[in-house]
Amino acid sequence: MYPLSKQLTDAFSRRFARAVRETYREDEAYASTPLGRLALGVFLLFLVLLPFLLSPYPMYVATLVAIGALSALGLHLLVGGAGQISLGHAAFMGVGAYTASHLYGPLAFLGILLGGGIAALLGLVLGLPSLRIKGVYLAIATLAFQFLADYVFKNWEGVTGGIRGRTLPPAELFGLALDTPEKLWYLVLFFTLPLFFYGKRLLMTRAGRAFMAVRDNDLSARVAGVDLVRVKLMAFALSAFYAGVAGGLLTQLYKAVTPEYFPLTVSIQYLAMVIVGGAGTVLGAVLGAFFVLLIPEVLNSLVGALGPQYAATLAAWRNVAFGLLILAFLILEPLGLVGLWGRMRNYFRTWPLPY
Amino acid sequence: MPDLLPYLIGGLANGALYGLLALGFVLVYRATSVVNFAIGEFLLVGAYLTYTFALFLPLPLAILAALPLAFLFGLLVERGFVRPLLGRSVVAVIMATIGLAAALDGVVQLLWGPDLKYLSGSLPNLGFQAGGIFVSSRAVWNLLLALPLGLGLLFALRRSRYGILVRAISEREVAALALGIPTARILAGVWGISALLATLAGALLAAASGVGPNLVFLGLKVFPVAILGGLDSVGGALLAGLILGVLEALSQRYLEPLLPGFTEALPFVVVLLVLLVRPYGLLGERQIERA
Repeated sequence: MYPLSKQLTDAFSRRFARAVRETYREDEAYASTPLGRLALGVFLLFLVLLPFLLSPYPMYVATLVAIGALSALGLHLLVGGAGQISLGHAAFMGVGAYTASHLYGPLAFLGILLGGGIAALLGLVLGLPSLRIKGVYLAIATLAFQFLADYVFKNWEGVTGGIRGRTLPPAELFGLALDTPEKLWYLVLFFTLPLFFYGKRLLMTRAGRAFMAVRDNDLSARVAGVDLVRVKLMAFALSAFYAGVAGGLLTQLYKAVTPEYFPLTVSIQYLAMVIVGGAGTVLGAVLGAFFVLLIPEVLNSLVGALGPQYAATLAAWRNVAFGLLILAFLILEPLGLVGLWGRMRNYFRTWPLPY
Repeated sequence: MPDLLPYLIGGLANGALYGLLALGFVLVYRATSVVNFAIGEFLLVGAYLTYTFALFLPLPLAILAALPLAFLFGLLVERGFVRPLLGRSVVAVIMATIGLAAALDGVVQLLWGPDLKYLSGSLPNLGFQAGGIFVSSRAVWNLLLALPLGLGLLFALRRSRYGILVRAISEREVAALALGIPTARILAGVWGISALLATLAGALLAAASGVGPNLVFLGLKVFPVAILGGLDSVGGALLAGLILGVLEALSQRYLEPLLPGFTEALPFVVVLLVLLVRPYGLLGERQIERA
């Protein structure tokens, strides 16, 4: 038994364990082993080919998850990276969405980028209180921002269209209308992939290490020479930029924007993605978004299977599932799905002799 | 001026409710440094408990019957969801109460349904007419319950044995443990009292305007009130509740014609102003943690 298990674990280790990194360059790399690079390539190819593999409805959900993951990654950088809390993430998405709704058609690319930019500027402003207050006070300040943004969305009729919101024609690329989720998928990939690689690289390099130093103890970070003002403002601005771009993409998917898309509950949903996914990692953002956004879809199909008499209580069940999920992860697995995956990998790596 | 008075009385009546709710919120924050985002759900659960008892009891008795259950509910929440997170980061604890809030929201809807319900009884009518001004029964009840309770709680914290123990724990928990103070039991009790106060606020609200899932939104008013009064100040919570109630009433009267819907945003404008100018609030301790 023992030789067999040793053989198996060795083979497993050779294949899946990370190589020892010897240079900073290797440390910053997106994938450190040949197998890792192959997996990354295959995954990217899979993403590009996805519209040919899925039918329209799953494709719609996939697009939604990709946009959600992008926004969640922004919050990951802020909460998991720099350790600042924000209950106003949905407001930034709203800012991006409303900006993008004014530049449609051939200008859609510009609109989405500009939405991210304006959101980032507002993020800088919201970051200012984080220089003076932290923890609970910051949470309540961002909560206040969320409500004020909601008020502005509802009442600045000239720009936001009030409660009825705005509708817009599909984005265009060289005269080709991106009107279905399949075509929109490539627009989403165009913005999402670079931002994901950027997020990953950021956390691996000096700037990301500075984020984490601030998260763990901002006083000692300052003593070690980290510029707190810069790091905190940058974290807020980056997070808001990601949210703004995601908001703009969401507008393209929905072809409309109303204040109802960006209430407090959406901010909370994104925080839940961070918790469930595992704070501070890129993989966590994707897993978290996938998990949290799929709950309503799964419940929907359950209702479809059980019969329509349960449809009325669907919203209630969704809330229960959502809340219990957050609590379960917080209490039982604080590292989130990423931590769960790591533990599973370690279990199999050392099986059947865990010590 | 005379047309202003009814607004002020209505504002004070609402403010008393805010104060009552914020008392429990601030008490918990002071003792355990936990910000309870589920306070609105505490109120909701309390209101529905009152509703259930009011189905077969007269309303005052129903409220009295709901209070011990609410206390128990607070204890359970502390045991089940707050204690396991002891010593974790602020973000984790905030998220836990948010998760609890979502789950409670769902459970309440599953148990009692989504529609608005009206209580079968009513509180004895204490409304009166004074010099041409009508003071509604609701306002009298709210103020009559909130003011003595708030002042009583303040007095208990200052003078009573248990109040001093709570303050000792909030000063330094480890030292309190070393002195043999039954910290776990007292903190659970604090959560119970918080749930009890929220239930009382919920019952008063239910008696005035029925029970529905949208009562939760009152819970959001707690943050402006607590920030304005000082997050760790029990007396400040009551005072700030009344101030915010009056401010809302004034905004309803004077600002609403110019900026429709502004009253809803007003509390959060207050939050930002207070955080910018005086982050420790009106009566809070000045030692706010600086970044």
